[in-house]
Amino acid sequence: MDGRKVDCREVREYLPAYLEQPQDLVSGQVSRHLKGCADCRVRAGQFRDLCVLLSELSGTVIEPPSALLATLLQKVPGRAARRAQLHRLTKPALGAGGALLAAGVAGALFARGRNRRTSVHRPRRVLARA
Amino acid sequence: MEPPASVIEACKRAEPQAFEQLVRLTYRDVYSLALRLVGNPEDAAEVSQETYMKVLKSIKTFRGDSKFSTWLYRVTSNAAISSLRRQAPRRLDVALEPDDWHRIPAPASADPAVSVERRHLRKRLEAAVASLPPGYRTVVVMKDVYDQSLQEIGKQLGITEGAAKVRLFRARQRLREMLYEEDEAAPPKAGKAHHGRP
Repeated sequence: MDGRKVDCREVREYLPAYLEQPQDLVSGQVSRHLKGCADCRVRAGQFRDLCVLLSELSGTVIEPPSALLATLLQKVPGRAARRAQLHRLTKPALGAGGALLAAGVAGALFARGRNRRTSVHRPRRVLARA
Repeated sequence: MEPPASVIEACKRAEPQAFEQLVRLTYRDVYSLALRLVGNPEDAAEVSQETYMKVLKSIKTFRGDSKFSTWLYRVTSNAAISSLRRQAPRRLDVALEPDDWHRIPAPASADPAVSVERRHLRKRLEAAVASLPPGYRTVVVMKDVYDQSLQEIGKQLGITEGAAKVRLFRARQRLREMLYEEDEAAPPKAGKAHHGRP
């Protein structure tokens, strides 16, 4: 559309994008066309109106079926409760398990250390006797 | 509706009462978005349930960088897109279009009160959006109704930002035709079914 007049077909193809890209280079030509073309002006107005209407829909709530809230309340907080309960049950159990495991590991290391010490000292005694 | 921060924090601690409050405060908005995306009440109800299950699992990841409602809408639209994909993987393909998309009737009579007409127009717009092919509907609802960025929409739908933009503009073209050209052409008689075939 550089440097030439745009026709109605080109403008109409461009109109869905026109409202959010008014700074676009093409929009100068589109604006000039719209000034002189009542039909395209009406169409541009319809797009503007459409975008406003669409944005208004987000504030319009569609009433859900009456059973939905009951279903959601039955499923969601119930599951949350089970998760919380599971968390409460597993946390101390994990804590106790962890403590036992740590004690076990510490005990094993201690025993291994003792064994090493004795196995290292034995040959010395043998040497000393010899 | 934006739930109070205290409710969100309590939900992060998995407090059931907080979840109940969260559901009560937000389920209408979640259902509305779900219905606008999937196009039928049964699927919208299912998507709402899935949304809250996902919220339950991942609310700890909500850091508060955006509004909670924005985050919730993202979770909802993800659940809705998954639902559309599960039903028919190709339904999101814009090539598959309902053959009656252009048959949204114009109002039976013009109402002089602007607000009434506006309400009526909004109702027709809801019907027109619902009749769009899913590939167009998802983009126009996420962008023009819920103000998500084209980049974000492209990411959720697995398409490029450019492709999302093309779908958006085509969806707007169709909606304009459905809303305004039926008025200019022959208005159908009152009482005709909205999505009926000729």
